[in-house]
Amino acid sequence: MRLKSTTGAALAVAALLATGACVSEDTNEASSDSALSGSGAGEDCTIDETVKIGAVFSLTEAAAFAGAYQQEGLAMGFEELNAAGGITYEVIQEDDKTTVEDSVAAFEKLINRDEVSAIVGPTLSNMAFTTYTDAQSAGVPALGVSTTAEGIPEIGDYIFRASLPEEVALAASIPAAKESLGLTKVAVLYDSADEFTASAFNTIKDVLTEEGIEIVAEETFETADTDFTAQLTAVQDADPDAVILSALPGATVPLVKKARELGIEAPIVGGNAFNSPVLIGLLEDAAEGLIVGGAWSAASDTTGNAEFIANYTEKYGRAPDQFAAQAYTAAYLLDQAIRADCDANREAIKDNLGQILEYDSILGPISIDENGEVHQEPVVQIIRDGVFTIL
Amino acid sequence: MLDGYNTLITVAALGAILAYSFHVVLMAGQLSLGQAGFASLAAYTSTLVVPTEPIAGSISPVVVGLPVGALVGAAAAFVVGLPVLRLRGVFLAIATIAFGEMVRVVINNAEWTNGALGMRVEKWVTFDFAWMVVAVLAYLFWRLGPSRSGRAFAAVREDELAAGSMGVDVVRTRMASFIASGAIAGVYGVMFAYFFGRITPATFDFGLTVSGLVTAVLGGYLVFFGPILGSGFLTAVPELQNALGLEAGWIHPFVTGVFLLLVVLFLPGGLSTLFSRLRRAPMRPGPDYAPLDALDPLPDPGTPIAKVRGLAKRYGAVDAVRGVDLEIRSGEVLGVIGPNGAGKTTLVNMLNGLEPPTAGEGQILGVPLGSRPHRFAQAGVSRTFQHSKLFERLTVLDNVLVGTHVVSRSTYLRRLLWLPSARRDERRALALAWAQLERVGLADRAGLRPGALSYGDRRRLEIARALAAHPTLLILDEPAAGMNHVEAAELASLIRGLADDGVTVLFIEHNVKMVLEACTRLVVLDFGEVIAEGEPREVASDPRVVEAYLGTEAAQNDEREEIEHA
Repeated sequence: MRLKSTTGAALAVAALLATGACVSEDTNEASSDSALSGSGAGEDCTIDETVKIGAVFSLTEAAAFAGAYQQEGLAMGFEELNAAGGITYEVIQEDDKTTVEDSVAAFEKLINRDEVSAIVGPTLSNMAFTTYTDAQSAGVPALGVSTTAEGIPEIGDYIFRASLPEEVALAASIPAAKESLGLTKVAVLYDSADEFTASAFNTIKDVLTEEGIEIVAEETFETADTDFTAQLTAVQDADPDAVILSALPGATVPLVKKARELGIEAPIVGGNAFNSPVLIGLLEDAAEGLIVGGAWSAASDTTGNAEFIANYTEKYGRAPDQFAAQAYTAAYLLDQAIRADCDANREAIKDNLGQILEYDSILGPISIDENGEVHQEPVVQIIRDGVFTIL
Repeated sequence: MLDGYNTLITVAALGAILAYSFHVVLMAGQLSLGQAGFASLAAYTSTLVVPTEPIAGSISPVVVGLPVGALVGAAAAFVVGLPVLRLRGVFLAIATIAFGEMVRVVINNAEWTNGALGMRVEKWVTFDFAWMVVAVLAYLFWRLGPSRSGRAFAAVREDELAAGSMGVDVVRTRMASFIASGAIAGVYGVMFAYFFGRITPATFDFGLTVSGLVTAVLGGYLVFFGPILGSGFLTAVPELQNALGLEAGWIHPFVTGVFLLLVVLFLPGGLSTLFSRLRRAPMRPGPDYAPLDALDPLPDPGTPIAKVRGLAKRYGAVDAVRGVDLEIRSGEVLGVIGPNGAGKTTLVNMLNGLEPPTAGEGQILGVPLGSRPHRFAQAGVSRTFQHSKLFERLTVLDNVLVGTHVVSRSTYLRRLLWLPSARRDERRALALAWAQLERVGLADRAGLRPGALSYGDRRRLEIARALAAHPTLLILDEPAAGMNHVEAAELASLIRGLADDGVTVLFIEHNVKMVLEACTRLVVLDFGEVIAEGEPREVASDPRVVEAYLGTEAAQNDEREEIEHA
């Protein structure tokens, strides 16, 4: 009896060994659902079946500061589109809890269980590098709205982004600052433990070299640091015309405050992380003179921007930020891609997202090329009297 | 069938693997939190060796990475363990956390690791592969539990001093658990890298350590599948909440937290508590077994087994023991008496290696003074403690089984292969332990925990545990303390019985009646010095002894009478 059960167990293990150690090369054949393709074209397109769009944002934990705005912006965009008629969208929202594990699980759920037509998100590039390879191999178009790190669209032909890369935002803000402030020597401070800021640093260096601006101090810190005195003292000693900062919002507030406290008067130039009304609120007086390169500004008079801000503020009781604006735009971009052939199948969305040209959005005219990369004019703003003003 | 749930199922498996790396150190009572560092080193190293194409057409290339990862993790654990394993408890935790942080910072700043940007690899790990690894780990721990090594782990966890005195090499056992933890963490690192296809230094941060520890504690160490329970629970709870339609973001962590709190409050052994109750009650081994077969014969009566000269112990300015010369011969029952603070316990602690002597030379059963306790135990010295040091979370039988450590052979590797000889050895240890329980009259309580025993029974259990080591020299430190006179009389006859069986007994006692009944020779200590030695009744009437005990001349006569009557 004993022997039999042992043998049974051994056989089971052997069977598991035989299958488990093998890698199967399963190929995803593109399935298309005729109910998802409708009649008419463009504005008049009607699709009977509800179009399911997955959304993965970091609603809790570390990146919740962005995820909450993104959820609201995206939801508002699709609500407006549903009200416009023709196509009914259903947003299936998942929270990745700012972890890679949950992000991958959320993508798998949306792809295999909910069988969505496309996915918006995730919030952080860190997760996108893992989840987008899954979306790519499953053949599901994914549209990033805040995944700004280098190399995201290169993951594959199903991967797109409507989020201005950090390098473009910084590349725009540095020359703009040079022009208006006459910079010749700068200090660069960046977070070396975060891939997003570390990749932005490479860009900063290139742009500075191109513009012929000298780097007189180069200091690093880590995401979770709270004391920046050593780095800032070095910066102060170098007496730069401006400080260029690549940091996540968590470190930005204490760092900028400390810099002002130590008496560093030079303007501080930053990227996407600065572009939030919340940040200004937290920085209080220290926010004065920050120069921000970004994808969107509450101050710009792009098509529909004023209505967007008014509606958002009324609906959610707070002003939108860039994360909300980009997610809101993503809804319209997906709608454009679907209406192009009046087809909400994954393949059609993939084919048409890469064809969007100069679509007039609240971010200004926006295009996505066939590689999945976004093209738009960055907005450079300076904070004066506690308000974002276009520089 | 499992479409859409692959990630969840695999994440549960990965969580279980990580939890096993904590399970193995918790089993041995070590709060080591360096697993993130080991995992990180292993994951990054594996990217250097794992081939980019499947082996022989279809075998996952990770099979190359796993042994490499395990090896890297184990090697790192060994190197780190050499200095940090001198630490205990929270200090060990801090030192190992620091190691994990060091690894993270180094990898963050190294060139070949691509710094904070991380590395990308192919996703070679599938869910069945991950569960296969979990199955292998579960098997390893299943076979470990009731083996000699498994009991050594438990003994070290429960009480390092007692474990050492029972012949368990405490340092080596701690190191073994630490290295195993490093190896499993290494396997986890490799699995993680090749499942998610991407690693960054931040992947292996302190958060990873915390989640591994929580999973391991939640699952519990009482059963071998505790980590799987913990990981399954933590994966299932959020999913169940989703299925029930709970939406708000903060509710998930909140509900999970409440469950965690409930488990910790009401199931102190984690979820495994629920299963450990299913374990069968211990049974008397078959009568066909003669347990004392094949045990080494004890030395002939009268052979000198221990000889020390000038033994001294000094604590700062206090001389606890001063210049004690002692010779013990086989077969005698040597009593050591003296007033409180006379240095009796210090003396026997030096005789079994618990405390190194400040001065003096000699050997006990061939082991030089100053060696570590397990060396004495292996040579045949076994002891009980003044304040009983039982393994409180083990059953009465398991306590005694730990005692058989020095007279049994390691069975773990043979148990892994189901060799019949391992089964034979385990049955022999069980028979030996059971015989000791019967000898002290505790066989009917074999399945209880020591906490459920009366004071006298706890004393007897400690003696049974010491006897299970088949000692040549048995040291009893105040065995009758707290016993009533009936129990004490029983104990005295038990001790005489042992002497008849050829066991040499050295015992410290205050109960003079018992000492006179049981001892063949008596040594009296006062202020760390031997003040009298010889035949018990003669020594007891020595005026110096009486004075040492009673201090005043006035009370002397009454008390002397009492002693003489006794």
